[in-house]
Amino acid sequence: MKEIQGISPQMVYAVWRRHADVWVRTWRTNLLPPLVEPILYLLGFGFGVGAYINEMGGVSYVEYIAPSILAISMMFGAFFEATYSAFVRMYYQKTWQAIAATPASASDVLVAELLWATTKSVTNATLMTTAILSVGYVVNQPLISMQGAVLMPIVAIPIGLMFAGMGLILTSYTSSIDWFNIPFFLFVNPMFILAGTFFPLSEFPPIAQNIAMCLPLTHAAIVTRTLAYGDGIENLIFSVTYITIMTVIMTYLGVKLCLRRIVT
Amino acid sequence: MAPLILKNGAISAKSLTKNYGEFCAVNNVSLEIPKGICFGLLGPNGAGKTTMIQMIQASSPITNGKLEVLGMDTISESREIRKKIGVIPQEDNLDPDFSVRYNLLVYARYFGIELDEAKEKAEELLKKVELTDKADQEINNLSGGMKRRLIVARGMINEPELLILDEPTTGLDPQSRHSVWDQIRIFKNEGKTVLLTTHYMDEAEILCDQLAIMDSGRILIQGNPKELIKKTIGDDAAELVALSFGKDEETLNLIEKKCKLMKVSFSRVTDRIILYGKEIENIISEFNDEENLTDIIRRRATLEDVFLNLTGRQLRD
Repeated sequence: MKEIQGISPQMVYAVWRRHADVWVRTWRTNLLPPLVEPILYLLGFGFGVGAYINEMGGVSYVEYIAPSILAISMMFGAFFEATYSAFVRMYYQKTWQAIAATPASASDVLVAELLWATTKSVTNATLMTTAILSVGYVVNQPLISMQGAVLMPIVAIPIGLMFAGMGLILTSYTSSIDWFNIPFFLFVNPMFILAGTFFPLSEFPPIAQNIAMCLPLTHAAIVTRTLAYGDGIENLIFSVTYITIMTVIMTYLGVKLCLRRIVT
Repeated sequence: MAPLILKNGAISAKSLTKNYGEFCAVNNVSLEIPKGICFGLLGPNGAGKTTMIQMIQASSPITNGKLEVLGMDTISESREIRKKIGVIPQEDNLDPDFSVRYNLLVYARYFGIELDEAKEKAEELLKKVELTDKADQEINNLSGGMKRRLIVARGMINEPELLILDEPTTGLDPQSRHSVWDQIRIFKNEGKTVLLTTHYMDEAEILCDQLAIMDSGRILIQGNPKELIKKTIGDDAAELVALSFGKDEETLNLIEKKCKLMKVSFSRVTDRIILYGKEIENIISEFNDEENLTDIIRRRATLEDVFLNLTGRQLRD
């Protein structure tokens, strides 16, 4: 049992490379969304809606949402990959099954899924940061600090892993691809709007604030916001601890539960 | 304690059991497959063949007993085993995102084969299964037969010692079927071992040196196909076909009675009675002029007769 599920770094890399190869093959379509989406958000909400808002959380509205959309893209990058895409590989393409007949183990496959989903988070963060910096340059208003920009791809690693682990937990459970719509509508989409992303949590009544503080995206957004503005780093302890603990629990459970599903 | 298992066997199972929760898929199976032969695992759906194969390819843990493949333990040395075997699965699990050639290259990577070597090996294998022309095609542009040949090639990328094929020719046209058979024969000729499951009895008879028929998680019978036929039902068979459905029930009943009386083994199927063994001529001579019989077909007994006799005609899920 142990050996069937053991982890080998070379094998994890081989599986990760397979996913990366697929991504590279279709790079044109893959680059588009993380570059175009932030521009749309910044234009539509930041400059459009923002024109009617003096300031939010002490900054202009466009500056308020720039780090938010970074956190959101880190979440979506990993979460989507570990749910819909992983399910397609497991269930429709039987990629996992094909790999299980090689020296790679089921655990290798799952760890590679986590790392690949995290890679998507990191690439999304990198591309979006570039797009946000470019928009800032064009309008002559730096939307995020340079230090923040450099750190975004790095914080995308733990944030991506955390959401990848959650995704795998759902993948271990789902019986059909349509089922993912339920957690997306009941959990991911509400977070997208309510995790302090488009308006500060302080607008909420206290009980809603407490609930929001339990959501992973809230903490991801706190981290990206703090880094983007470059001050108050010392206040990050709580969010960093939250993300660290959640990452460990979610990735462990994700792998464990998926193993129970595929190694029978 | 001395090891109970033969050193030079390809696959060796001792009291092998596999449970899925309450359900027992493989029940206390012992099996010795020597190296260098083609071994067939036959049985109706749900017999436990695929479960056996998954345990042998060391990707599904065994519940009880002991299972060694190429002298290695499937639990503690699963990676080593998978390094030395080639698996051709029942379903198409090629990578639709890659070309024909790239499917082989990506698969080679899982075996730690260097890219240059993998490229060479891929060309060689594509030539072998006659897919060189299609090397740069997308998987979705391949026919079912081509996909299957590519899966066979993929299963050989690591130069395995043991090739495991799960229903390798299901749904193939005769040309592709023969191409897959050729690959199996060539592989076996190199002194390597083949394990295959199939629902086609002719395929098993043609390819397998030895086979086992499984049902409900147990092995019912095992041996060389020709000897199995001889031993269980004899060389000859005859089918006595009734003129019409239902109406000639009486005639068939009469034949059945006679068979029981003369202890001739038989099997009754809708419009006919199939007789087996040496004594069939005695029955035939008696009913030769029976006008309610349209046809009397004398033929050789086949593995299919053995299979149906052992596992019954009841449909399985």
